[in-house]
Amino acid sequence: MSIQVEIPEPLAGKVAEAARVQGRSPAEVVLEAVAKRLDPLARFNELMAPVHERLKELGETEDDAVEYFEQVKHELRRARRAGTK
Amino acid sequence: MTRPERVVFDCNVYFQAVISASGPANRLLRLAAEGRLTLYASTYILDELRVLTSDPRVRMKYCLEDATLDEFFAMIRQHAMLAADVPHVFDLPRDPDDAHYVDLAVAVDAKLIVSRDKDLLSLRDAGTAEGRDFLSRFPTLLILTPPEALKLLASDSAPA
Repeated sequence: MSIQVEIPEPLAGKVAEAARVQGRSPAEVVLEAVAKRLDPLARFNELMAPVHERLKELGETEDDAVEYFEQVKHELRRARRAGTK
Repeated sequence: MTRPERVVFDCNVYFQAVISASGPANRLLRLAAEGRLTLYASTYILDELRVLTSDPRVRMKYCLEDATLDEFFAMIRQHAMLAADVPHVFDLPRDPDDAHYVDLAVAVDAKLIVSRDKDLLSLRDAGTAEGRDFLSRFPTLLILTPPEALKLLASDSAPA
């Protein structure tokens, strides 16, 4: 999909400067800024993709994983309390 | 019901947001990142989350790498307000560590704790002594699961 947008000054100057400093094209800078604004978790979810894949491989649901996490949490809490007694 | 703008997430909600990009916990985190909720955390919660996500059983099972965890914690710090002082005001004998979530919510005047923890969720039950104590002392503090929280927020933001 292609969208043409006129970027007014002084914003256009800021885009050009960011592109120069980052060694990227102005289009890449604009795209990243728009993605960050519209989907602030995009980069985070992209980084977590291997974890999401792993969940699929395991055949687990979110509920299964949270239940396992809770089980480990309570084990660690009990161990900590026993150790501090 | 007034929209609960200040919220506290249990560490299990952060974990759920990590493991799925499309689930209710991730959507709640997105609301916080968009500034539609003010998320409060504490050193205690982040420390426990760090310990749990560093536990070899959890790390290996879900392929959690140092680099991704560092990004995860940076993201939380970016979008959550860290409460400096959390006085102890509530006791929960069946799991004393969970009391911190109530302490934090009270300290920052949050009206909503989002959790998947059975002990915390049990405080909604007026049929138990702990539930009655909690409900009488903090009648405006809600404890909801992620789907329940999303439902409340959606209904509250709908036009009248």
